Order: sequence, then structure tokens, then C-alpha cells
Amino acid sequence: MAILVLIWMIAGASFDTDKPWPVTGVGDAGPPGLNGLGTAGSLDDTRLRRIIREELASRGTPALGADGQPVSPAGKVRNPVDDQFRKERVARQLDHYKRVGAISPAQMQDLQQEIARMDRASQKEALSQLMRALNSRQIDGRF
Amino acid sequence: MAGLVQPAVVEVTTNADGSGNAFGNMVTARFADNDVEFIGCGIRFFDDGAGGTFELGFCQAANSADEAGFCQTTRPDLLEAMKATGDYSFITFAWNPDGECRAIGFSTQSFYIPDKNAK
Repeated sequence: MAILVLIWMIAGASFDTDKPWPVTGVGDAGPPGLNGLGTAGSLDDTRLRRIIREELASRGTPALGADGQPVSPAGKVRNPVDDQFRKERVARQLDHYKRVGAISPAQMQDLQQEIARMDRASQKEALSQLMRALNSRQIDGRF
Repeated sequence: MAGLVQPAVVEVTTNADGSGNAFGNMVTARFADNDVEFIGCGIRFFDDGAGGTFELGFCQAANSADEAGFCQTTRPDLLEAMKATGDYSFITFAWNPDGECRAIGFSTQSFYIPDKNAK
């Protein structure tokens, strides 16, 4: 509900910080779902963006930065070029370990470190490939 | 007499689709008469490079025939469950074809503690 209200606010250009919510009566401090966010005129652009990010994150939807790029949970904008580069590097590493048939503890640690820095979709894909290779003994190794 | 002792060797079951499950007692695995049997779970924390932390939980096991099973999770509820392991835990876990943990269980009982009279 809160996300619909926020989208409505954006569509209605309600980012104008000088423009307060219409207060129609006692206890009417804004639309439903925004209770506790402050009352009339206190929702500035930065705060709204933060709220939208939190709402999207709570629904498992990647939040977008001002430039439309996915934002990491910590709030930093991801670089798609870096993400793609890292994705290809991890894929090459996995292929290598499959060819060799084994991964050492140190290599496993390095691989996991690399996976940790991937975007979420790529993390899921890389971990799936790693686990399938371990469980099929295509790669002999341990965590 | 030394109370009930209940060893639980590691058993690993894998299915054709890549899913499977494993269970066993850590003490029994550690003192097994072979050099391949083991079972355990762990959590690793990584800097995600974007100001956050990537938490990766995993369980792994191999039976006396060196048949192994692995699972991983990034789910907060399962990561929390993994913190319940104890020194003498019986561990059970299951995974889907992608190797994602689908069940994790720990049982810490007196009968899993090594027999003081054992070798």
C-alpha cells in the first residue's frame, strides 16, 4: 500500500517540499501507510527516495538509483560494466575448476570473495553452478 | 555405565535431479575409522564491495564412501538457524538441484558426546 501511495506522490509531482499534504481535519496527517513519516510538508526528495528504496528492497525488487541503475543494499549504485566483467571472470574461474576437477581451500575462498561482489542475480547463478559442480563431483573440494 | 551413547554415522543421499540430503553426528564423523567422513555447517561474511556484507551459509558432508553433499544459503532465516550448531551436534540438511539449502537441523544431545571410555 505504501508503495502505491509513493508512486502516486511521484506521479503527482508531490516532491515539492513547499507543498504540504492537505490536512482536512484533526488526525488527518496524510495518506494511509505514511503515518509516522512526519506530517505536512516534511517529505523531501531525499527522504522519499530512501523510503522507495526500502519499500522495493522489502519486496525483493532491485531499487534503482537516480540514473536508473540498480542500487546495492548499502545504497551504492552498481556499475553494470564492472558487474559484467566480474560475471565473466567468475564464469571463467568456474570453467577452469571444472576442467581441473578440483578446487583448493584458498581458491574456494577467493572464488567466494569474488561471488560476494557480484550483483544478486549473478551471485545466485554463480552459486548454483558452483553447488551443482560440487554435488556432482565435477569439482572436488570443500567450503 | 556412562549413560546413553548413540553414534550417528554420516549418511548422504543424492537424487538424480541433483537434490539430496545428509545427516550425521560430528563426533562420530570425527572419530570414524576412515579419513573421508565429515559433516558440518558454517557461515562466511564478505565485504560486498558496495558498503555492505554478503553472508554465505553452507553445510557439507561426506560419508565413509566419500559420497559428498553440499548446500548453501543466503536466506537470513536459514543463516540464523545455522548459528544454533553446537560442539557435539547431530546435523541434518537438505538441498535442491541448485544446491540451495532447503532444510537445516541441529540436535545437541548428551548421547552425541564422545564416550569417555572410548579410544
